[in-house]
Amino acid sequence: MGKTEAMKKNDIRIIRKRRALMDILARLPDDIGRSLRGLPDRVLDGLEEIRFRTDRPVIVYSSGSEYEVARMGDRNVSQAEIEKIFSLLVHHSNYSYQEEIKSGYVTLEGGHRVGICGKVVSDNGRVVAVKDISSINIRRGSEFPGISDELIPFIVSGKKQIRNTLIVSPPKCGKTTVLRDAIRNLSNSGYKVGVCDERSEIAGAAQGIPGFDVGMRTDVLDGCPKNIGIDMLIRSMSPDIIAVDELGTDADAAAVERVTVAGISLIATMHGDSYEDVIRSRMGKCVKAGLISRIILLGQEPVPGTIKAVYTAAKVNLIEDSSMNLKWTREEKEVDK
Amino acid sequence: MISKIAVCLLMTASGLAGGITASNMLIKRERILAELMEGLRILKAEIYYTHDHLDLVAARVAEMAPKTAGLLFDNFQRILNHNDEADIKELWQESVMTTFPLHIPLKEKDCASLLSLGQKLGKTDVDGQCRFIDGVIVELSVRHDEACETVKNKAQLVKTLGVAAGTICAVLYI
Repeated sequence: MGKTEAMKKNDIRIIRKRRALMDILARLPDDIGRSLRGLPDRVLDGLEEIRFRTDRPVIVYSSGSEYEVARMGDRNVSQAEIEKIFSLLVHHSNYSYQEEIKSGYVTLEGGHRVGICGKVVSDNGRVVAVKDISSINIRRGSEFPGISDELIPFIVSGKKQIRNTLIVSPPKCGKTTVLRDAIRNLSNSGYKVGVCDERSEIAGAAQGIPGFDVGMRTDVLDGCPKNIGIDMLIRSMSPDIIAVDELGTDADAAAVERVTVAGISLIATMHGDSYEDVIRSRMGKCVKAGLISRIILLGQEPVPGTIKAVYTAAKVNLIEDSSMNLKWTREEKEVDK
Repeated sequence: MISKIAVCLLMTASGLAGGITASNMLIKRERILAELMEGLRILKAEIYYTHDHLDLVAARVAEMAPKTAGLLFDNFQRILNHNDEADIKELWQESVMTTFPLHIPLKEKDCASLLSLGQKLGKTDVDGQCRFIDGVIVELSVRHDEACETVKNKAQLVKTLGVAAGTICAVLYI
């Protein structure tokens, strides 16, 4: 790729990221939004998280560093402000997000995730509600077109068959970002992709329109529980590939089994840090049964989305170069030069 | 003499007009309470079946609800979109006050029932919202029944009283 083209692509990415950030800031109370908009460009461009805690200052995480946000008057965030921030983020409509709130997060338009902590109300071990919210963590959703380019050869076999693949990493290592770009790549390469986007993070859909580019042959089932949505996609959309985020329960493992026996390929993510973590998890039996044929481990060093290893089901590591970085990193370096 | 007759007629006509206006107020209150109940039923259904954000739900209720309820939700939707930083309770209160300035033709307690909706609107899960809206509908239906009873018993009486008052004034004037 030529330097100019790389620069152009990078510029577009930065503009889209900035626009997405401004959309989030516009949802915050005026004074807080203004303080955050006043941060230096390099902080805003690299912004990963905004954290609000009761009686604590606003803290942002950007490019791996932590910054405290200066505000006029009392720099600490009051309980009332936390409630107001949350109310604004959910458009004063808690009922719209009731299932997500019970899981401790809500997903905003554009795929940004808002984590919440507070007093949990439970009934028979089941979370009924979260009240008296004391902490809010806004995690910025991001897309890096091309981030999965070097992953694709591990997923697509010589006969253009898609291997059932698990993308595995601890939180904040770029699983969803890589999955999203892999979906876009495969969809634009001619495969019909069905996405079951339980948390609206993959496509970032709002009112049915994906906020991220997930490709021209992608159908998104938004907000649907995975184990139900997978069956709906199989029956109704005849996909070549089904993509889901964050597998982990027995119901998910059963759904994976149903996908693979239906002759449809699966690309999914899950939390973990090693091959052994996968084997110990609920998905372990799927790997042992040969239903999953590629396990791609991602890491955060030197940058989120770095491929640490690509395993076959029999634990053969297909890459030796563990410092292999994804394409967008190299493009950024190219632009820097 | 002619001027005296004219004044007497005017007094009787004023009494009749006053009676009709008061009677219409009673009938209007009954109609508005029925419309509000219908509007709240639509609100409940929209929240239950769509889970959409409050501004979108209010906009749809404004389109579907009968006249006065539609106007109330239209005001609410506009006020909410214009100033979404304020608390929903305040915004709802503003909408009610804009739609029914000086509470006319509703009574103070009708408005109090309506205003109570703002306390929890949007703040709970769907079941909570439905139960809460149901509660307000029940309150309004009690008021509606009372308004129906008042119309039945007093609407004609008020008109007659108006004419009678006008006539008495005319007689006294003569």
